[in-house]
Amino acid sequence: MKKMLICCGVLCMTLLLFCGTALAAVEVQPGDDSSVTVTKKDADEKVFTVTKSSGVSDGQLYLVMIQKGNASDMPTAENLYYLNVEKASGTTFTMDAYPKDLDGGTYVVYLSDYAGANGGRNAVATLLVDIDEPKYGDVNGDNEVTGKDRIILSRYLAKWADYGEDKTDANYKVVKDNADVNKDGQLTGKDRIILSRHLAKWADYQTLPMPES
Amino acid sequence: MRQFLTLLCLLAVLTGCTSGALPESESAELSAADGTFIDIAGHPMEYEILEGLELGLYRVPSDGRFRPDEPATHGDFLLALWNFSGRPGDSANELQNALDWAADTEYPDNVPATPDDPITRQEAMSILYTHNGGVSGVEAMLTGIYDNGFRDSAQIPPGGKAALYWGFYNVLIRETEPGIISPSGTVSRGDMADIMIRYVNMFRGESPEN
Repeated sequence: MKKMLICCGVLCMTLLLFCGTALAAVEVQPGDDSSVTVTKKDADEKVFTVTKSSGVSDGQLYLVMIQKGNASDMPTAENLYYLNVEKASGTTFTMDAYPKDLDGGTYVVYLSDYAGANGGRNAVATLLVDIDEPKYGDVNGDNEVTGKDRIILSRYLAKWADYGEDKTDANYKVVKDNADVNKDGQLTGKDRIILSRHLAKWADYQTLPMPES
Repeated sequence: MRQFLTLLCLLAVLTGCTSGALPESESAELSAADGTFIDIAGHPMEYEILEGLELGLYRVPSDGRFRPDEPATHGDFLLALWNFSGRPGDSANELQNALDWAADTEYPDNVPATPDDPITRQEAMSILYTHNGGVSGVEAMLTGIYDNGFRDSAQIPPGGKAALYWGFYNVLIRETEPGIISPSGTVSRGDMADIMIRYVNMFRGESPEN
């Protein structure tokens, strides 16, 4: 009986640890250009190899971009996760792309002839990223952590009308899991103060969440 | 050296302002954030205006109105930027201080010094681009994509492309509609508040690039 209880305890601990870890899964969907392949290079799914195997001249410059959202969106610092230009060596072009941490969502991988196309964007693959971790600090769920989140959380805690989880407008919406920056399961003034200090770049508040020890 | 000193000055102002805007008590913060401008509740840029107010970019006039839908003038824009930059100058007239400072140091040569005229998106980006050091970043690699992607890119005045594309890349301005960047479009005072907060966030490191 004692052994069984210990086993149950270990199993519960394992499940808790597992639930507290971000689970990422990246699915690569190929594009229409059969001369280009995009593959996952590492087990952590953080590096992607882009290879063009035909129609390449030695020394030709290629631009590789990984951009979140739709193929028609213009690239900005907000949606661009990787950007680099490199020369082809020989008749095959290969580049390892190291995007910054991918959030959940859809990303388009572009490979373009940098010198010749002058802005043509050739979508060569789509990355579908599934992550179950909340974006801590992004109180209104607009994918940014800014002073706006602090003001919305302040008003929600002060019980202003119009602010809540059921709202769809990002000016009034509160995503509880994102706002619970100390991971204590409730929204309080502590979360607001931690978020304020995080936004003000206090030294000990750089990383969210900040569970209390 | 001048850019370095300007950056130091900006960081000092930011640190001071943000620290001052973060009291421990919730009620103190709420009273600072609300009930000052009487015409911004429910406006799409309400939060950006409030943040700018907390940072000291704007003063509440005697009638309490921000007038978020009215066009921003060169003077409005430079006054906000002057406040952000530590309010240099010794005149009793704030606007005159801001204009003198801009003329001496930051005002781009290709923007006419007409403080009462509405400011365009191109002019606003030229001012901030110059203020930020006047150097392009990684967005220079995207020039061809932007030239092709914006249907009105031919309307960007000579010498203005680097600033406008820098502003777009850093999300200080957005497309006015898909594929249109509107260099000669006007900037409302609400838009100005949005642009200024996004510019401030670049210094705070809140930009998605960081």
